[in-house]
Amino acid sequence: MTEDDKELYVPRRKGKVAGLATPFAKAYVERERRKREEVAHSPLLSRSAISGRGCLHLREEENGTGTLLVNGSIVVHVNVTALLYLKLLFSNEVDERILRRITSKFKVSSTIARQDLARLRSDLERLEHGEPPARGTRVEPLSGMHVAPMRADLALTYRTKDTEGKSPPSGAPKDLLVEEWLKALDNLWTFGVPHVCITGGEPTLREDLVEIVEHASSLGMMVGLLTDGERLGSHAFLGRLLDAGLAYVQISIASHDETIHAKVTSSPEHRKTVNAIRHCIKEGLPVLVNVPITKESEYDVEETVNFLVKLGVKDITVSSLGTGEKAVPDWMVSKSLERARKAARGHARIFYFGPLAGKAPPQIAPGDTAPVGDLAIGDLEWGAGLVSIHVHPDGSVTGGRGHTSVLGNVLTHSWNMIWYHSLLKDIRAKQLEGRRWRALQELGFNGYPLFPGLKVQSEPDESKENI
Amino acid sequence: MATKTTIRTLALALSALPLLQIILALVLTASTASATSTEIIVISSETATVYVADDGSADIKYEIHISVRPQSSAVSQLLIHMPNWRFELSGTSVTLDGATLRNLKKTGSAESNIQINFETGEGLQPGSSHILILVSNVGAMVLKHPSDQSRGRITFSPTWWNPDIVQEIQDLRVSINLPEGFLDQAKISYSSGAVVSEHGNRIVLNWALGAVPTDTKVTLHVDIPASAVDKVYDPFWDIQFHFYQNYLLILLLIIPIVVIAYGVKRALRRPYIKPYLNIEGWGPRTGFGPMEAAMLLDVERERVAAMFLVDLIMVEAIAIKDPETMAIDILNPDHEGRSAPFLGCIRAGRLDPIPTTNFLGDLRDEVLAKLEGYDIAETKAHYTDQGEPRTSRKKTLKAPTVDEVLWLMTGPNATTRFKENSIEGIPDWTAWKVIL
Repeated sequence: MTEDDKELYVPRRKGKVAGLATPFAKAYVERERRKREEVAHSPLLSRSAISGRGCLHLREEENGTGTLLVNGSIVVHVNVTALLYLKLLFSNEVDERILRRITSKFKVSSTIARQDLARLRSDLERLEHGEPPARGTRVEPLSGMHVAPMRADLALTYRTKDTEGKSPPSGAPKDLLVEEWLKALDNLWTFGVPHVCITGGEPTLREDLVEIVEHASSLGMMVGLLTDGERLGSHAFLGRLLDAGLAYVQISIASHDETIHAKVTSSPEHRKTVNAIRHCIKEGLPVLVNVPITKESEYDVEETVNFLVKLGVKDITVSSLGTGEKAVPDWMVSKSLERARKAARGHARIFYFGPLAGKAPPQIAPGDTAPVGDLAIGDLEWGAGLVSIHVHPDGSVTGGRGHTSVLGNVLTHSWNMIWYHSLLKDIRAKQLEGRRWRALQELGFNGYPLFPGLKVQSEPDESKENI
Repeated sequence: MATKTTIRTLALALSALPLLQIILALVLTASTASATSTEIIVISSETATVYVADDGSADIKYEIHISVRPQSSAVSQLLIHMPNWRFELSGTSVTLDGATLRNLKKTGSAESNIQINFETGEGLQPGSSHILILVSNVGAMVLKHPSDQSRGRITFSPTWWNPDIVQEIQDLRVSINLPEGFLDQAKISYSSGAVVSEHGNRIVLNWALGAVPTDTKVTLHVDIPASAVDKVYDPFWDIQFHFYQNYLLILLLIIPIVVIAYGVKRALRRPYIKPYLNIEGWGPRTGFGPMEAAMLLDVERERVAAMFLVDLIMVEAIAIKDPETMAIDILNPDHEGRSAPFLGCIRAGRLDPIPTTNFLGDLRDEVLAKLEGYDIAETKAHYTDQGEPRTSRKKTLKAPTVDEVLWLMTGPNATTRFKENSIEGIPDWTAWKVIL
């Protein structure tokens, strides 16, 4: 009998051991696959709000805690325990599975875990409905150390209506192609950026704007648009942007008066801008209207605010131009802000938006790596480098639009190189130094100004006698 | 050019190599298959005789006539299938042409096979013929009837062979001898084809099955009354459980490991910190007193000082002797109300500008500290209602409380309103000349 024949004599028990091991092996393989995917994918989880166009983003931070971003504006710090609960809630896991995971990871009874789960779910629903959580404390604004900014401002192009058709000035950054922008969005999502605000120049001059908005939205990002609004007067164009997932729009209007508007913006299309505001409000798209304070528009800011209130605008930003021919001094901006507040009281919210100190944003040049140097408070524009970064038309990244130091390119450089660049770290440190943001806060700046979210009521502190 | 052609030819030849390898492999596989399907052994006769004992066991005797084909290779081992695992190799006797074979081994997942190994170089040589006789006692041969508890069943399958080695058993015979003393033929039932007879003190059932293909497993049953033997065996507990025992042992070993691992995992769980959601501090800060609110709302310092004085007057801690010179009498230096610290600003019967300025500066710092984590703009809005503090909406107040007076004083139009509307019991602070 040959060896082969012998083998034929041995009864084979097909897959008995393998049969037992298969479910475990499959589970192991699946777990490993998930782990690999988690590493390869974004630290972000996104979830649409129950009502409206809002959304929530949950991000795991470096120290194991998390950040919950509500409607791209309210920042909620969550501890390690809450992060796991929320991750499972975001993944739509059933309660029993959530409790199993929690009790297997933490020393807690299922009864307490069940109570905490119910509480967190209720808090999450309150946040989704624009209400503050029933419990929880407040923390210092801008106090968290994050793995990525809360928002990236994407300047798709620096072209404007005035420069359209003209050859760009030498040294001006070349606009990325649409495929490159889509790749840039993928990268930003992977880095952990939950919110992009598309700006310019005039971003609506790009024909592929809808495609870019759609891609960002499909990734789970919150997408806003800063525009002069002229093209949004077209129902068809606005409809396409809404279908693509646009979450909010910021439109600039210099004055209720057509002539003043034309003087400030050099655009005779006041009517189109007003129509755009009307259409957006009619379509239920959150609109933030920016009123730049200039020599021409400063004196009738109340009338402009009243005009906007009549249009149905609920959120208005008053901005300064910094320096320049049309700019007004800071004290005048402050006064205008107060007057605007008085005019809007009870009807709309007024925010400050723009540089405080007189420092014109220098034009960015590709490859420019000039040192940041001492930062004036004007460099705190919009929490640049701290809560937001600016991506230029060629994909180069700076802390803010006006910053001169290129930290890297969103298409070609690693996120560590950009976000943990020594210059950006310096900017962040300087911004937080001495709590200089308080000066901005007094004017209504809340750190995340592009989409004012819910109002959060505080608990009265009656613990000691107040005078 | 020639070089190019050579290279091309070489490349073609190299590229054909894998193809040649595949063809060669196919040819080899085909030849192996034909070799393995060749019949090696001929079983000219296989006779199995089963003697069932009273204790439910049975002596089984096989007599097998084997011929090895001349063209085949030597056979080094044979496999005999027994009814179950309950037999001992030490109690099994195997002889080949009268010579005892000792190299026996229990094999198979059910441990019911006897593997007969021939010594190296011996074996069954090609062209040889042999008589193999195997005798063994196998336990638990009478099992419980599957449907009738009062009966027992003897199930026997004469050993079968690998169809790749043996084509057929040319003559298969089986004989089952029932327990001694049981002779009631009417109480037995059995598989068809048996010739029933009595031999000595036993009932004997003989099956002459003739030629049987080796891939056919013949199974024969004989059902007898349970009372015919001392014990009827349970198929699960007496046969199959033997194998589960091994699993049980493994399980008993695994369970403590699993329990310990689970315990360790539970013990290594991280401490549970209550989940919390901390909002970055936006929203209004409430709970300020009127003087604090006045500082927040940037009311003139002189008026805030006046508010402290009004508060102290209304609780009779001080009195203004002359509004023009702001001469002040301290009536109760031990006053402990909220404005008590302000008494320190009154020196030599006058409101001293330096300590008062410092006091108000400190108050502003305290207000800012209390605003930490709150939205200052929203807080201001909270303390301002259509340009006036909330409680100041009332035009006139009869017997107002101290707080109501002070809140009225925080309003931007307070001076006018106090002048135009006489409010009983309130010092005329609008006439004071507070200079800081």
